[in-house]
Amino acid sequence: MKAISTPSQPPRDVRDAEDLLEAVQSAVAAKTTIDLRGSGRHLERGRPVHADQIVNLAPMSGIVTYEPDELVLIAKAATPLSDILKTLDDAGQMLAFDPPLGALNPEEAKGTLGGVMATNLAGPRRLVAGAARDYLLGFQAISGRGEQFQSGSRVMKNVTGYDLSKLMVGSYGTLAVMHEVTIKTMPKPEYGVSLIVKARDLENAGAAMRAAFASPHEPTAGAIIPAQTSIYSKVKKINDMGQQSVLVVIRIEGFKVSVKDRMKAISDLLKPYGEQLTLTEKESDTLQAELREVTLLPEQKNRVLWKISCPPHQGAGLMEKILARPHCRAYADWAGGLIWVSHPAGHDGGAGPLRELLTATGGHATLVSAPQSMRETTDVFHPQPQALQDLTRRVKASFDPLGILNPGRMYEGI
Amino acid sequence: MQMPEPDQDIIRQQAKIAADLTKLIGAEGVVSDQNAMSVFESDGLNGYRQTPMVVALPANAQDVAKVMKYCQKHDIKIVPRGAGTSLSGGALPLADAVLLGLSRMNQILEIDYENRAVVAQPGVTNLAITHAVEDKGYYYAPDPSSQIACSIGGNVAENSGGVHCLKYGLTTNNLLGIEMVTMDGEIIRLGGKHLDAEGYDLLGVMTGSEGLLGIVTEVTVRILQKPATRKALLIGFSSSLSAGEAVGAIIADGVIPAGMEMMDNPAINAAEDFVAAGYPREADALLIVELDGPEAEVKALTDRVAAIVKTKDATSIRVSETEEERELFWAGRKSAFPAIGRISPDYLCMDGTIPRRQLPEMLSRMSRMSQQYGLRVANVFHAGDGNLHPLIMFDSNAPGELERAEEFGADILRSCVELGGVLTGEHGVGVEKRDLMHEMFSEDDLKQQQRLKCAFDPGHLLNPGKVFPVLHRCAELGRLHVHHGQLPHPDLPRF
Repeated sequence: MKAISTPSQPPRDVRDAEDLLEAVQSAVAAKTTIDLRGSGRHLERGRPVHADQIVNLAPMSGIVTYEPDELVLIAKAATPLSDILKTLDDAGQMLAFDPPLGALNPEEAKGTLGGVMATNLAGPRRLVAGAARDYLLGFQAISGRGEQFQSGSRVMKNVTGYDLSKLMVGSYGTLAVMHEVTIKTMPKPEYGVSLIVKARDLENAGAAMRAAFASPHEPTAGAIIPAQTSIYSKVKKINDMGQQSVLVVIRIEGFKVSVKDRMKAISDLLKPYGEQLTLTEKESDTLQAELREVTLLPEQKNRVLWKISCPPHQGAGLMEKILARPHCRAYADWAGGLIWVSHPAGHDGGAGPLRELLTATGGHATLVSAPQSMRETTDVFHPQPQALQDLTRRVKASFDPLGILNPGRMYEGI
Repeated sequence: MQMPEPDQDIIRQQAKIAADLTKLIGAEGVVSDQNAMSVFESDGLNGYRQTPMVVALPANAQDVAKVMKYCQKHDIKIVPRGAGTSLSGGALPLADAVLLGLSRMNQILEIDYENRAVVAQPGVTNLAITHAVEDKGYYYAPDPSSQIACSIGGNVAENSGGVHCLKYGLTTNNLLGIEMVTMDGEIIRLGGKHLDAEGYDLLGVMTGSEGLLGIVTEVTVRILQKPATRKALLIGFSSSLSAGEAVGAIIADGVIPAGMEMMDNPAINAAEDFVAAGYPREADALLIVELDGPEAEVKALTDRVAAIVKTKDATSIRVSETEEERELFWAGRKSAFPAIGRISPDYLCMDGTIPRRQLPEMLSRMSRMSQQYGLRVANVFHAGDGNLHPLIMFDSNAPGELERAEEFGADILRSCVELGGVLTGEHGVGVEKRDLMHEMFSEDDLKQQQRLKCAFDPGHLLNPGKVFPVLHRCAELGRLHVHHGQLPHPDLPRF
């Protein structure tokens, strides 16, 4: 199969599972490749795909079943995220993994539920609540072999057969095309506020973060925002306070009576680490959304965005080294375990040096936003050791032996 | 239970294989004496027994890799074993296989409080992890009932659960990383102390793969701070329907209890006879709701849950006042299995999951089946997540009763699937539910799972005869355009 820069066939809309099955089977028969599209929100994620045909999944939309008291929702894969969130919100529930929405306001959420699963997106709550991979209970899909199959179910405790749901989440449509997904939903917290600590430096911020998360007071999220980054927040207190210092943000959510008690306990605990203030519920929600959507590192020409996953306690030290590099901006979420880095584009967007830093700590760096030309030539996903790469290839082939689905989206040939 | 036909050529080489393995991993790592091997002949599903051909007990990942390479080269099957507590026969030996036991790899390698992670060898017991970190207020959340004995490597293989899954998740949600050895002897690391292993989530696939994909040689789990307070409510209902509705109402109100367990009348009385926990004997259903967290929260939620269950016709409500009382409330539930063991010579413990709202239907079906099969059944139930543990009572000395009990059990699991649930919630498929897999999956569903198996183990050498009812050759599975409904290979082993 030869890679081509523009699709040789007109795009095809698929209405339902049968239609999708037919589309994939035709591709198998003709040995042509497919570029899978939902809303197109994540087109810039992963390596650029050069395929013979764009298959548009958007028409496969709609919530099939929602049972709040069973914490389960079943939807067609291309159901808009905004519809899902609205439906959940009406029942006082949410997606606990807190996926980035492509918008600060949930009503303007972009993308589809399937897209969130394909990319394993998760926001600030991920640290405590888990990622998208922890909430996909089951799915229906068409494999790259052109076969309909299903895995999992609608119940949350299930060990019948391999957990293929985990494999599908974060596979960027390279194994199979999910057309129906079953997810676990969770109640929305009644109340949420944030404690801000003005730390001396990154080391001090890391120590405060560790103290908060080593306590039994159940913080629900934690971020570290260096001075150069906090200026981009729309929360005035954050702008004002962050001018010359590193801010530690501890988010506390739950039942109101509990939040108030925990807030006081954590505030007392963190007294030695610096001046404090609390954000109101509204301010806290705004900051949480900014952290989730990475608006604290605004998109700019000649800059690329990296997502670094590392052991949380190593986050502050790693960020210090990253910020020492010319023109780098960053902040940490997940109590230090996730570092967002805005790096000058240069020739590889900093891929080499950033990944070099991670050899000492463990973890991985993913290029999440960069011009197509850079994503063609730089490893978007962290390079794997040979044995793991070989296994990854065999897993890909077990679902999609001809390499029909989203060819090359993750790695060369995968 | 039919297992793959043993390869007599391999069995004839038993002495040579034992000698070769001794050369590779040392005499202390190999057991080949028939008497000494008898302790390995079954796991927690002890109705099934088979003496292994040879037992290998490697001391480290390099030894595991040597054994795997050797077996791959000589086409010898391997059955992995942790602590041997599987309730589904996952570690049942094969007559022509090396039993690979991980019990010697039993050290905690690192406690990293800063990253709230523990790194352990696979043979460390589940409870030992909590014991190692509890002086600093931490614990490891998944708590299968065998936690005193079961190994963390086995927990990964089975994706073990426990009574606190609803709030804290199963093994898969608490596992950060593993080191594993593939069938070709490669040592691979997946994940670590960071979140979200990149690339395909092979860590997620390995979890619950029942020893069919690779051997776990190191495990990194996250540990949590122990909740500040815990309280349990003991709530009686005059019908299981009301109890089921109460569970739904609690969750719909936004409360996710740490544990929510239900027992039916036979289980209540058996437990009460055994430990005198103060259970309401006349109740048709009993709910134990555990709430944990900061003191103010637990207090507020206790009141809230009590108010909700009153609207659902609760007949009695008790709230634990002390830690001793909380433990007493649990004592009956935790001793439900031995309590049933006291009133029946034998019992089978089933493990299906259903959508919670189907509980009344399921219980009425079970009571009909109980009459039909002439066997008593008691139910304990992880009510929060729909995981049922019916205990079917029988006497193995009475001719035909074991078979009737097994048929009864299979009918229960079929009903679970019919009602939108699954064959196994936490015990695994193993050999026990292998032949029921078609109740839940189509031929294409199972073939796709087996293709994944082929990506890890193309020769079907790792734990064959478990999980899948038909062993398709990988070459056949890889072929495109297989005609459905036909059996192109009548010679394939079908169990």
